[in-house]
Amino acid sequence: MSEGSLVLQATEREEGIRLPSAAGGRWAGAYIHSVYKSTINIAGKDGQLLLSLAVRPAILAPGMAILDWEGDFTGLFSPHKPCNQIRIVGSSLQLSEWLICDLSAARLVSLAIPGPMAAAPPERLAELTEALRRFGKPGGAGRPWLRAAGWPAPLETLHERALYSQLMKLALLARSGGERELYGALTGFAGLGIGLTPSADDFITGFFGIMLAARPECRQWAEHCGAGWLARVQARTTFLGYEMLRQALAGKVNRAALAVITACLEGDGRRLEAAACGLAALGSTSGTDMLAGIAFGLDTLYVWKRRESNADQNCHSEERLP
Amino acid sequence: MQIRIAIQKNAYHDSVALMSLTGQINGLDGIEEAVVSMGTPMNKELLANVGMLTEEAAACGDNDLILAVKAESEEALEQAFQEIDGLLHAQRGNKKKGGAPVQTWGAAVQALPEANLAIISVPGEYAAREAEKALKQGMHVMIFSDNVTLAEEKRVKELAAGKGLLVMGPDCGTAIINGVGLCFANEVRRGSVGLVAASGTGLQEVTVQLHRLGLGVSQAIGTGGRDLHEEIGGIMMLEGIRALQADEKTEVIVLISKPPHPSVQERMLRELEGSAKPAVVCFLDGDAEALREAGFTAATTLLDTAQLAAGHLKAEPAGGTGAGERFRKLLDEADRQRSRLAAGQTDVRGLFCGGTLTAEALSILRGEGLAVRSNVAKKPEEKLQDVSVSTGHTLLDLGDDEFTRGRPHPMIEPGLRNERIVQEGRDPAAAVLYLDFELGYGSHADPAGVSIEAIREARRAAEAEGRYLPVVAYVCGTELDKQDKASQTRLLEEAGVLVAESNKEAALLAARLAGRSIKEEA
Repeated sequence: MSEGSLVLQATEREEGIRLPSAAGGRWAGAYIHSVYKSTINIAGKDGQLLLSLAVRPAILAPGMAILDWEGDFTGLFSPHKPCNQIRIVGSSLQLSEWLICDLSAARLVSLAIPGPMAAAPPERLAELTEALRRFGKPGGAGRPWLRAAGWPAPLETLHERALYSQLMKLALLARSGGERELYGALTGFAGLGIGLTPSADDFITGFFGIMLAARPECRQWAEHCGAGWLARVQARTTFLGYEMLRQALAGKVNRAALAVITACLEGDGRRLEAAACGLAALGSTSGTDMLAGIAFGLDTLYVWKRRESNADQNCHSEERLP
Repeated sequence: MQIRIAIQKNAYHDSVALMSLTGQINGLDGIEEAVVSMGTPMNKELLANVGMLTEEAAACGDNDLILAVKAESEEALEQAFQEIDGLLHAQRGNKKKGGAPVQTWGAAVQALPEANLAIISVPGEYAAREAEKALKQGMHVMIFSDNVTLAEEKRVKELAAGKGLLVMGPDCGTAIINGVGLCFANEVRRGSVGLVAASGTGLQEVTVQLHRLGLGVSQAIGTGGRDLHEEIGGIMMLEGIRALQADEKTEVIVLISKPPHPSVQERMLRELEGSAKPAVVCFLDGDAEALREAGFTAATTLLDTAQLAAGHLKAEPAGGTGAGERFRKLLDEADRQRSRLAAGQTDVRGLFCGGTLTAEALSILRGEGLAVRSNVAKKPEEKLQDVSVSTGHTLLDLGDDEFTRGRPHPMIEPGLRNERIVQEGRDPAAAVLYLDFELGYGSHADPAGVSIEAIREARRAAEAEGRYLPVVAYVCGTELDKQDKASQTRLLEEAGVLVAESNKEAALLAARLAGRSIKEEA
């Protein structure tokens, strides 16, 4: 039986992806790192993630290209196993004897977090918390964050209880410690939770996303201390969790998280609700975890704003959780 | 309280799968806590906090999956891990036992030292090299890859023959070895008919028909489509025949191929002449009469091949050979539907997923006196010039390169022919649509289901212009196939499709609808 080759065209790709032909040696020895329901991850010989290939409804993320395919993705990609070597044909990737992905004509999309943006009005946190209550999924950092924020959210799994304990520590640190201290403490949180991007990593991604958008100080910290922070995190989390955090500190998050961040800082309640609903749909708990991280970031921004305002008035006092 | 930990090295599972798994295990009786997570330091710390961190878990890496269960009893633990095993394999779509992924050939051999068959699916330029590695380790080889040069194919096949090993392929899509279907194969009964074939869907059709006849398959060996070319010389067809001659479970040998090069055919026949076991030869579109005159049992169709093999075994047909009441009723229904055709409706329009089934249909329709054109035709006068437009009686193999470039094979994604089904429905010359649906490993999970709407659409398009459009289909599969032949058939019948029990029957029904009297009523 002669099957021919299926050439899938990428319709859009994150602008940071370097095409194989332009990237030279990094693509030599590239292999399939992992295969999921709607995504294949490609890594280089050095073990670094080079590219994620996905089909709709996957949400465009840093390092990802979306392929034009309306059929059964699972059936199409399931024969492709982790560790299989891929071939480079021009700017295309030959994943197997019969499947080629062509990236050359894809529209470039920026997922860069804009900033610094204006401070979010206080009602955004309440609206985001409400969205988390309505759209969030259990099992990750969503309910632990709601519980830490004072809502009677049940904590049913071991991971939810552990995440709650860690989030309480972080929230208290945000109220009593310095900015660098809080960022540093997040390394100890990374890697906690179910999944290949553990809940804590998704939470931190959302948190850094909004902090980078709102605080020039965070950008400066990421520029000067980000590499060391990442080196510590690399030893504490999964391959994909680390890659996501690396992109986040480089100022890039997935399209759905970016929509929530921009809606928080420059949108209105309606836009935020729609964006939060979209992000919560991501993965099993990943989107919910990111929403919780963004909510924690917003909360922290308000706390620091008040603290800085109080410091100006020389009347610093410990803040309470919202 | 009992605790058990299992580690899966570099295991990759969706979070959704892990969440679902955790929830299901936690819901089992006697389970106090189940934790399924990656082996990051934080997750290990979490296990330590609840007293579930063993030395093994502590030693695992960030990208390893930890399955930790605390239960009231050893029995509850056992049940939980059986459940985990089943769920993880089901999520992978692989219910068979499988080893951890390996990255090198050496690691694969080490992981499964008793293996004696390697399946190779890598870019064609590397396939021969990998095949040679396997052969040198004493393994038989199945090469799914195509784009292997003839010189490479000959080299690996000669190497294999020298070692008494088989090389199935390159471009081998179907085999059944020791009861295990490989790549695109149907689930059939085990038995005493051994097959060697240079044809994928040809092998599927004959094994399916043998199953229908109540017989079973000892081995079904694919050789790859070029094995009977002069350059290769039928090396593996010969080795396959010899292997079946030596196989004590094989009582009848079946050969399936398009007509070989004359010199190769001569070698095959000489080999069969010396065989102690009876053989049936089906060289589709070849000169069966000449073979019969030379004393061989030769068939002209795939159904006949299965029936002749059954004859050698003196097996009573278990019904459904096409000669019975059921087929006569189908012919009557075809006549009834033909009476509803408009004046200009004259042509058979066959849209196939299986290449050999297309070739067989071409041969049968030609035999019924129809002038057919096809993209798989070898005769220049039958070659379809423009595959985008049907002209007269037209049979299209939609799995051929011209259709699959940039798309998956229609056996994987049969919905791809839907557009063409509707296109044919709009053609006032179309008298009958003729479709095949392949079941079995590798094929689409619901091939009929994804085409039903297109069939209805085609009929609506015809009806809108005052025409009635008959549809004939063949479902190549067995009741053991995962797609469930009965429900696929029912789906088609409920849509008013005439469903045949073999490709030959379907071809004859199509010929009848095109106004032929049918020389041989199956």
